[in-house]
Amino acid sequence: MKLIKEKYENVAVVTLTGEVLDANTVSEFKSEINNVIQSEYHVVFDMSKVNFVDSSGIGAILSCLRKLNSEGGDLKICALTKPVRALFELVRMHKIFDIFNTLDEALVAF
Amino acid sequence: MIGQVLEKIDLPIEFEEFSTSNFSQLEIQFSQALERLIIPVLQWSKSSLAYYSAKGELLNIFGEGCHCDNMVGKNTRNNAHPEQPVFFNGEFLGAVILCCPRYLKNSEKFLSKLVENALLDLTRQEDEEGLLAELGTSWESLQAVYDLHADLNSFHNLNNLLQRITKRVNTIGEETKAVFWLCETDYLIPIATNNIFNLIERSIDGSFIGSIFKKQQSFICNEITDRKKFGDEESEIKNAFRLAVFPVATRINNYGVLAVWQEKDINVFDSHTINFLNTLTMQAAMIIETDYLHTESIKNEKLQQELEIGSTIQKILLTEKPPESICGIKISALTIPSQKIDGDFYDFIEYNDDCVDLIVGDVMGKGIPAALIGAATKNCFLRSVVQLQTLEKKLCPAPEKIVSWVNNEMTNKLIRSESFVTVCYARIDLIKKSLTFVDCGHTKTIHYNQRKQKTSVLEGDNMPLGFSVREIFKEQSIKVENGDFLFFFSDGITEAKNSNGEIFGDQRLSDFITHNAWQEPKILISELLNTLEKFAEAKVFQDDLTCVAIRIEENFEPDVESKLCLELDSNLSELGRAREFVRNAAKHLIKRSLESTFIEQFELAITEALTNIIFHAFDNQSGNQIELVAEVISDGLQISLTHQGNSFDPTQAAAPVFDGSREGGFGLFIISNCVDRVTYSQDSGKNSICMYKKFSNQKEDL
Repeated sequence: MKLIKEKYENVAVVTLTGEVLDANTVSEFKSEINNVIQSEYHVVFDMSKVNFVDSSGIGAILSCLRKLNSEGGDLKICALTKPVRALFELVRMHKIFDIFNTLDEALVAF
Repeated sequence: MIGQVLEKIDLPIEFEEFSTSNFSQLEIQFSQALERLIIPVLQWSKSSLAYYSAKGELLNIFGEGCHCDNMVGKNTRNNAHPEQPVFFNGEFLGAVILCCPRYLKNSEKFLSKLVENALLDLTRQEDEEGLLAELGTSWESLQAVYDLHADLNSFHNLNNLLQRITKRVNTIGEETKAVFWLCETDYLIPIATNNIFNLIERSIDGSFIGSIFKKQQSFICNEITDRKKFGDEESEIKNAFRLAVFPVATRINNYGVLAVWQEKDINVFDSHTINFLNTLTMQAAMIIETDYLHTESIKNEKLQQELEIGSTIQKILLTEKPPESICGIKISALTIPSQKIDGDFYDFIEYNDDCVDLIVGDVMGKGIPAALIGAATKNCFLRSVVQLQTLEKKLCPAPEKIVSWVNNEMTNKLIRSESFVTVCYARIDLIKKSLTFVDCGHTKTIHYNQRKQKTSVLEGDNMPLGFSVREIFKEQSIKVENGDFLFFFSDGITEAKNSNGEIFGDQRLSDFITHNAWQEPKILISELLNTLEKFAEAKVFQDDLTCVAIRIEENFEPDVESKLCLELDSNLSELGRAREFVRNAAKHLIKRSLESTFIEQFELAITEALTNIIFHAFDNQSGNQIELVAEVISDGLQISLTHQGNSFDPTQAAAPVFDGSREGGFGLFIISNCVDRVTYSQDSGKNSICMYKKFSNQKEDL
């Protein structure tokens, strides 16, 4: 999955450009995201393009959160599509992640 | 005062027959009036009633519920035996004492009401006696008597009323004898006389008075010379010196004969006497007719009630609203109960969007019994379908099996009630485009084929239900096409008659269907009803009219696939195709529109299931086959994934952790929350996971 990183001051906004984050695409996502967030502390995932996430995808995003947290950083998520948000809620991840409706809201929250 | 009078009297414990000569006419009449009113009440309350005349003599005692000995002595103390004095037009007629086994609430009130009603009856009787005295003098007074009798008819005492008339004959001369003979199917029955006993009934043929009834001509003879004309049985008139016999009849009916005779030469039957006797005869005829009409009206009322009950049964129990939601067919039904309720019934069983069963039946016999048998049979069909579904684990059990089951259940009951039921059980399958039916002696179904523009009749050779438990029922199948019309009906339609006695018939019905098959079923049926009403020149029919019209819509194309299959490789890159498979199944197998969450949740479930199989059954090694099958089953979608890899035991899986500490372990939890049922199975080296999700009652957004 191709990732686009943009910097807003000290916050890195990562846009997931693929529609699907499942067991098939997750390994590519993992190797890409590790490069992208390696030197970052404050990261926002823009998920507006992602229509499908499965448990592997959730696991990968969770892994990013834990990695950033362990280094004193933070991960926020914005613009979830309806089916993806439904999955987050099903596995209670909306309580683990800071989720925002829009990117602006996410940026303000740092 | 009464108590004082009565206390002086020693009451006999057992009553011997006593002469009525000590009592006044009024007292006797009052006693009779009491008798008419009291009997059912006494039976109910297990009490007795004693009537003492003004002189304190016991005149009559009614009921056997309680010993009446010494009751006068007790009544004043405990009030268990209330007493009621009787006054009629200021004249003291004695007292009535109610003797109860125990204290009855309201017994005093009851007693006074009873005496009041008996006195009212006495008043009416008085009025009537007065009118009878005037009898023969004017038509007006006769009419008045007639009206009075109509009122008195509520007592249903025809004999009593006629008895009074025969007593009037005494005014001609003390020893004048009179008998009323009432005709009942070729016999004359003596029903009222003035003190002549041991009269026997006699046939109309071969007796003299019978001949008067037949000819309807009076016979008057002041000095009989030829006694040979009397029949052997007519001993009572053999000694008659003068005899008059009058037929008792009205314009509506001939009822019987009044015979009046004297054995000695007392008073000549002059024109005045003849007029008087004629008037008596006329009055008797009217009394009988009133009684007859009254009885008829009660019968009619009962019939009317029966009709109303029957029509309610028909509406509630025997017919159902046709299903409207089945795409591809239009169904309409009509039932018009006739004056005699038949046991026509119909019902529908809707299995899914592609399959509907129709049951039409007709119970042999009429009235409420037939209607109830119809309701029972209909009910039995529904039960048998459910039973067979459970037993055979099949959504749609075969029609022949259903009918056999019902026959088995119903036959002995039907034999006991001396009835049988003709039935046509039909199943329309829109996927197979077929009509499968079991015809059990029912009227033939009409099938109109639009392409050939031809009608044909569908007929089987099964026996009706209720002939034999061992009967084997066979189903038949025909192909149906879009635009075809099916018409199920009861014989009330083809047997509707016009004024010439000609029936509507199969041909007229078949022609009608051919010409009207293009119409909507609802319109076709209402047109048919118009046609039948015009034909029969009536709006009421001899038999129930029942019909069900079904039209297969012209532009209807159901998806012929009932199953969708896909083979996938054990490779994660197939996950996208698996999700596409869900979307295809939803599109092609399911004709209804689904909420987007239904598909989204199923896509998620299949992704998780396939991922599990690839990782755990095949250790993420590609080159292994996984078979996906989607099917629509009882209002839901089922998708199974079958493979020959390692088996999987879901009970060994760890529970999900939601605190963010673990990145995996959500798969099974997600599957079980996205679909309604998940089953794992293993069969000869093949492992399957089967997921089922209902269309309706969809889970809310995850």
